[in-house]
Amino acid sequence: MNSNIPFLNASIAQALDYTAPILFAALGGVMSENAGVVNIALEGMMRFAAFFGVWGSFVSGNAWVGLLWGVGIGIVLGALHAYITVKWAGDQIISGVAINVMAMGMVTYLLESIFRTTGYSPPVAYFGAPASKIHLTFLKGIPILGAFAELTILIWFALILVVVLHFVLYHTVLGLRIRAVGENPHAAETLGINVFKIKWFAVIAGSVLAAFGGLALSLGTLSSFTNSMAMGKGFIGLAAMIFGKWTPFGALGAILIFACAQVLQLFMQGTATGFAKLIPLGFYLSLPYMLTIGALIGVVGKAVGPASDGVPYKKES
Amino acid sequence: MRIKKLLVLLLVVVMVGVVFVGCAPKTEEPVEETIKIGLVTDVGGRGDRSFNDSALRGLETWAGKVQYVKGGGYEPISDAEFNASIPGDLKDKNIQPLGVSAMVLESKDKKDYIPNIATLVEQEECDLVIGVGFMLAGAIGESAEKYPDTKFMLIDAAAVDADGKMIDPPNVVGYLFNEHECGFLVGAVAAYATGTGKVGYIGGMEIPPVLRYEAGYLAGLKTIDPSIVVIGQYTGSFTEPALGKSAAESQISQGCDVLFHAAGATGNGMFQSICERGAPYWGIGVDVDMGLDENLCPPRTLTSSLKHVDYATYLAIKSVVEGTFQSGLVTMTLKDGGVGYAPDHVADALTQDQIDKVEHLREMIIDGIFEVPTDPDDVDSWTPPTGF
Repeated sequence: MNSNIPFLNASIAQALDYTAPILFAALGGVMSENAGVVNIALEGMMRFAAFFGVWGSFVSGNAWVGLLWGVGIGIVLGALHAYITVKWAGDQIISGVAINVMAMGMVTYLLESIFRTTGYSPPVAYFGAPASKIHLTFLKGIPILGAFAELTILIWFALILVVVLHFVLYHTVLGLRIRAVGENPHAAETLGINVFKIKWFAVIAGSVLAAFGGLALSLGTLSSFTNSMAMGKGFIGLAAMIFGKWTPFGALGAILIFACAQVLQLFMQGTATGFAKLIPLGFYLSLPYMLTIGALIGVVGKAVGPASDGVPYKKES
Repeated sequence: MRIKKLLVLLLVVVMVGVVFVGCAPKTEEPVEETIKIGLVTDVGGRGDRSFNDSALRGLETWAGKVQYVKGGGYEPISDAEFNASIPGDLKDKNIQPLGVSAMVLESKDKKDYIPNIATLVEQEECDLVIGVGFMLAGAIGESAEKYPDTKFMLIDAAAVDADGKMIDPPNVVGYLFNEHECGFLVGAVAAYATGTGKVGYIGGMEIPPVLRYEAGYLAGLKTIDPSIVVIGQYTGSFTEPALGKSAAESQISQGCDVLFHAAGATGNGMFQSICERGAPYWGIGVDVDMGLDENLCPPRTLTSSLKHVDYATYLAIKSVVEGTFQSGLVTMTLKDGGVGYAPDHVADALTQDQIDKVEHLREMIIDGIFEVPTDPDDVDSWTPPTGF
């Protein structure tokens, strides 16, 4: 069994690597939707941030600068979404779609004008480089815990954020206010909560989290931007948020099932022998999706979101 | 309210602008009597450092003797640059500029194939339209029947009709490659280079060219050492490097030390994984000489399985320029220089005796002494040549 421990740990580390970008997106959704603003632009925001992160890192040679650029574009896009949906009570879906479409075209345009390609940016300084990872050497060799011996700072941040966000949402005044605004903004308003302020905050904070998701892809797992990013990971995050009943830990659970199944299917494919070879490839590729849906149907039950989620708030005058 | 209107207007302008940026013709030089060659990339697009870039080299660099400039348009290149662009194994093929003008449209999505072809035929009046990749087989097939006066070239496939049935219109030439032959040779190299007796294979989608690569690779490994364990994984995507990295990590953690991918950009993730680890891990590139690509991992690229899409593109253009265009299927083989393997770091990982053996295998395939299987399922029952 001992020889299997490094493999087990490596597999879990891979699953965590796969988890981080989706988890950030899901947490961004949790933040925004608990305050009653649907954000389907997570995908587009990830794409923007993934690109700006690489751009910043390319210009400066420093991944941290890239991170700042990515967060910066996250704030800008969050502000745009909040401006349309909170300030002017615009349709949240339409605003989200607009940002996604904009991300598709504008990032491709920027990619071509800056890096002279519509395919892939050159490699840049990133957080996944062996020297930049967080080394906890004492964990090595321990089953399961060993998976945490060499992770990027972004993965750690995503995991810690689950706890932080849970604490903020359910154990602080701010969290209570956010949830109150998402459930019943009119009631919240009568109690003296500034609904607009809370919504602005939640939307921008959620967008910054989504931006981290993009950064975890382009500066964490990989070291360059590819034009196919974010490859639907924002939408998977959105789905995970719903399956996780709009809670940070719920989303984490849903994504972990998905990510582990992803690693598992690759492993099964690679080691299939004899009779198992007859299983068509499509089965393996769809396994993560089927397992996730199966697990969630069985375990989660009815998912009910915040009562005023997606409803534009207008002050009564 | 005025701000809102302004904002809406701004959004509309941005979005409409984006739409035009997305499909705007990249360049246009309507010179009288110049033969005009159109090319539609698949979704990998310009800068995929692989398949599409290879076709673009055949068209732009070799046939047109120009290079693409930032933001669209072309500028001529010098003789030195032209000569430097021709790889070692094609030096003796007498590649000369053909004086054609190039017109490239990139596809962002599968939906773009047919409109892009239509633009090249109807608006640009190209003499030859090139579709890069297996994915365009249907689009080219459909368009060829609609525009019988235009010639079409399809890379990696024969034209098919709407039902996916193979057709043979009089104005389409399809270029196929014997990927199994070059896959075989890199398989042999991998078998000599592995220290653990375990090697990996990462495929994109299960389409015929990728399956041929896999079959050749497995056969090459089997020829050198039947006891080598191969861990093969398909990612289901040519465009997701994160998945390629995941597959590579999985294979490495199971003990593989030489990895080969035929997964387009997904394979960039494999090189990333190998570069993070360094020695003793080796990566094997696909389609183009990835050992020359600074953006991947030149120090740990053992070899590359070469498929000269650039040369095929060049030959098709040449046939149109010289008026010798013939429809049907052309297969590029090891024998005619259409496929091969790159030297990269082979000399560092293999002994001279081993290199000689790989070269000997190459000659045996060229001389037709044995045939490499084209289907991975046939490798088990295939009898390899002995003495290696």
